[in-house]
Amino acid sequence: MNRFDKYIRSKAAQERTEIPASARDRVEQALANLPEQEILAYRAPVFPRIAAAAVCFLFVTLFLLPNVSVVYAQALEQVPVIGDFVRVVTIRNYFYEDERHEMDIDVPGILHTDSEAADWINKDVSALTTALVNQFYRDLEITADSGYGSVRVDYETITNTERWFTLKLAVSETSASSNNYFRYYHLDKLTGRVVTLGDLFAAEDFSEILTEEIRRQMQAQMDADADVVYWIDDSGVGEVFTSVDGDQNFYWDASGELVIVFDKYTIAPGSMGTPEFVIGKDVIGDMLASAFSDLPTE
Amino acid sequence: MTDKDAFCRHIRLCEKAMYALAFSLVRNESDAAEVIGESVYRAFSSLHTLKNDAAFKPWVLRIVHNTAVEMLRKNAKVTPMEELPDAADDSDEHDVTTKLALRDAVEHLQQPYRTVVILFYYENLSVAQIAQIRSTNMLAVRQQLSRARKMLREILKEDFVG
Repeated sequence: MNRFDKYIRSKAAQERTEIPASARDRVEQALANLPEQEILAYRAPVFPRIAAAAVCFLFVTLFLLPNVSVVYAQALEQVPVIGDFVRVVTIRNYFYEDERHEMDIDVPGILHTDSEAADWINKDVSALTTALVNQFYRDLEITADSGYGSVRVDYETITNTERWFTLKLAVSETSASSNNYFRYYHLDKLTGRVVTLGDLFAAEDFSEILTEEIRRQMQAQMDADADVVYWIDDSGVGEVFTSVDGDQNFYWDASGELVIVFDKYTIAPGSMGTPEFVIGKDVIGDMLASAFSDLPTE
Repeated sequence: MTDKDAFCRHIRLCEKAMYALAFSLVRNESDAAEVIGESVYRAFSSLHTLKNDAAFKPWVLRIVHNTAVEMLRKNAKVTPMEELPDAADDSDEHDVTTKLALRDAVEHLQQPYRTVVILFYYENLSVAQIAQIRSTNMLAVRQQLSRARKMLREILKEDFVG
């Protein structure tokens, strides 16, 4: 943290925000008039319409039947929920070009036989790309004759095995500077679920272990090459690499290693691009949840 | 969170931050009070979307931000932030080169710099949390903070001896 940053923080700490009586009264009034309603606990956005039926189905097929039938249990291990018919095609392309601006957005769509999870991915991809298109045209109005800008979206199927499917969406935005970021969507065909990094691990301390390993690799790279810079301690911009969370981008590489991916600028200067860190199997050890202990598969 | 009393406690703990954020956007006391009152209702009715109680503050501040922006767009009696005069150009009340409280200097910033400074320095929120509250990305917030620092340094240059 530089001196000016410290100076601002120090002054801000001395000037604590005070709330006027009228505003505090308005808060108390709002709290006093809250309706007497049942407060529901957080519900994860997972297809509520079929949730109850799915629970019953999974109980019977994954718990009851495997425990009463050896043949069924053996067969179940080989039967993916979604099957291997998962294909990705470009369902739409947004294109614009003039002397100063360019947009080229490929919108992928997952073709599948029957998967709520694949539908969810398609909707999420559509929402992201639509937002980028809208933002591009808003920026175009503002910078019509005075600026430059481009946005590109490409996609790639990273994995598509009997067991696992990974779609990578790569977004590149350029104006005064460039920014790249990715979204990785993972589909476990065996359970039909969208999987995040946090879902992979049973160990509660997976975040600490991955964080420690990535910090070790960062430091080793910096020690070996003076041109390598990661924001481990103090970047001067207020945000440094602190931890890996359950939503961090990842994929399984061709060697079956877990790779953690960071967007540009999030943990390092732009010159470092989009850093990736391979997490060795020795680090992962037995942290994987039992449902994923057979991963990766070829 | 499934307890109304717990919700009220969390709101009271965050009310100063809620007011600071609302005021940074609508810039008058009565409208800021209205924004946080409305935000309390909205937060309560969407409490089931709160994943983790520990994230209550950024979650409720996002609601405050959206409510204030909505008010700015819909309510004619509030001067939209895009139409506000550039406070940094005002020279009738303040000589900005003389010693100022940080709060005065922040008030001289335009949007979005005013809001990101309030959230980052006064409310000690992270860049990631600010990005979430303002529905933008971390890169944009970092750039805004960097530019805001430069502007503050210029405004506060008499007070800060670097």
